[in-house]
Amino acid sequence: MVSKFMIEPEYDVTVVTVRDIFQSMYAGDKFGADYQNHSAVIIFDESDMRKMSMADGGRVKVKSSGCEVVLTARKSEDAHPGIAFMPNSIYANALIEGADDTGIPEYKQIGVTVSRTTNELTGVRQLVELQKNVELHV
Amino acid sequence: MDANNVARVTCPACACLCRDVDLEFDDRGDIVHTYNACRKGAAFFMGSYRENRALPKIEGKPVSIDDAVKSTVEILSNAKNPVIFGLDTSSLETQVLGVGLARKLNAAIDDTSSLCQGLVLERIIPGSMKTCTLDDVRDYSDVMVYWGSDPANSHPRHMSKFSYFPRGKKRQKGWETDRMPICIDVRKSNTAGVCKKFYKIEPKGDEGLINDLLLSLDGKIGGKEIGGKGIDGKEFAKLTNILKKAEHCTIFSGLGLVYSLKNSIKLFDALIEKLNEYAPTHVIPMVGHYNMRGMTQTLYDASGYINKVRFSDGEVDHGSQYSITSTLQGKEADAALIIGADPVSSIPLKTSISLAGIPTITIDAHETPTTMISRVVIPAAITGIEAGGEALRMDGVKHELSAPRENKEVLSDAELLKRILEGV
Ligand code: SF4
Repeated sequence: MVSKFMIEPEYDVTVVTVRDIFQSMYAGDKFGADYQNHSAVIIFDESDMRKMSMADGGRVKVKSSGCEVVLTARKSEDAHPGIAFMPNSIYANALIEGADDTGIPEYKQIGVTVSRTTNELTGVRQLVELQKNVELHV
Repeated sequence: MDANNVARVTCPACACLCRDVDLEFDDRGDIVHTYNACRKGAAFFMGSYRENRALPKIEGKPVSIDDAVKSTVEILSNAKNPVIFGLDTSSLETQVLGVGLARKLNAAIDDTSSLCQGLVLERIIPGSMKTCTLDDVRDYSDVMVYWGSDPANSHPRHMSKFSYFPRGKKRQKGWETDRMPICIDVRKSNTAGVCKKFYKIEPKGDEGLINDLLLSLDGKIGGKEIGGKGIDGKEFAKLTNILKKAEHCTIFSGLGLVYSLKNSIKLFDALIEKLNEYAPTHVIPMVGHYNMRGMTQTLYDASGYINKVRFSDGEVDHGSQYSITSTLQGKEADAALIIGADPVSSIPLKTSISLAGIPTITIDAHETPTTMISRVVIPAAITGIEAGGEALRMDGVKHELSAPRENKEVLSDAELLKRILEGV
């Protein structure tokens, strides 16, 4: 879907969360650059990246209902058009709605829209502060 | 510690609990080298005790540990609806204390299993789903199915120590001819890359695959009828055959499978039952946190349920309304005690952030997004480096954790819970 009102076109993608050994190496310091750089990542199918004119390593704005984060786009080695992968972290959890009656959130089918951006990566502290302000001032 | 300043320890960086890790120390007691650990384990031992350590705080201001404990006791004693969450990265002893505290406070208690492997563990622990140990897998399994799991990333030595590469009692020829590893996943993961068979399914395609397997095992559908669902018909027939003819099959259920099935988990029960009509088939959940298996067992022993429990004047209530996500979504808790967990990172942020609106106490070795929004932070020793204890491996086998490095500035989470229990 392309919205004509946006400067950068938006595309619908389904996000599936995955595990990443490199990210887990840095889990002791969730505010450190290494952890953030391995977590604020979204991995796209190559043909999707071409369609969206996105470069490997470029920045993307990823939005779901109510939350928006800026991540690094990465090219997948596998083909999975329409599906993107994100390591499980606060970034993926920022995009997920709450849980259903099972208590389990929807980690394997998160509907998001993505668009190119030149904005900085969203920091972990920034993300927590933003949501905290929403929580405390509603 | 031997004469070369090397100590053999158990690694608590994942639920494989590898017992063959050697740590080399320098004269100041710093870890300078790890042997045998994977990348994840090595990073844990080399980095976790040095960096980003939590400090005792109340409302962001530094305090003494005594004051932080005193404030915790006050908050919990005054709460009508407290919730305790975590304990998956604590020793069994600490878990027993945590459950005792929940009982004393009439609190709800839950752990990360309610968001992940709980659905499988609530079958494994009471014995309604057939399981085995990782040692059995090493010695006997000829067919291993990594279903929605990716040990190459989540449990890096799982395949080399237990499930694929080692030679075992009945698997003397090793991986080349004696074992058939199969991966079922939505993507070609690193694990899929080394398995002999890989079945790529669509997201949420697990239910359809199980239904097809159930029919195919009974000979009600043939190979070609499966075509069009992403799996080649002939390859699907081969999968059915391999599973039917296995001498000892183990399915390593991962989060991909659990998250995909959720309410349809009974289909998985039916599949395991059906497979056992043909071949001994076992399930081992790929538990992430090193002692989540221990926490679910501890709570089960105390209450009859593995998670999502509420204690009330000696009575036990259980249900999804006591899962951490439901409790926080419903904004029912009026105080929270988080022990060795980081729900602000690990559950949907819109839900977890409500911890910022209630008095939340976090006991953790590190600063995390959860300590950032906690009213009280109490630092704890790192179990497996600075504090010892026991833990259950993902298959329920008990292992001892050691404390090769002393840290006098912090208390273990067990000592902290004992002090809180005395005060409330
Ligand atoms: S596989 Fe797990 S327990 Fe073994 S060394 Fe790696 S992180 Fe530690």
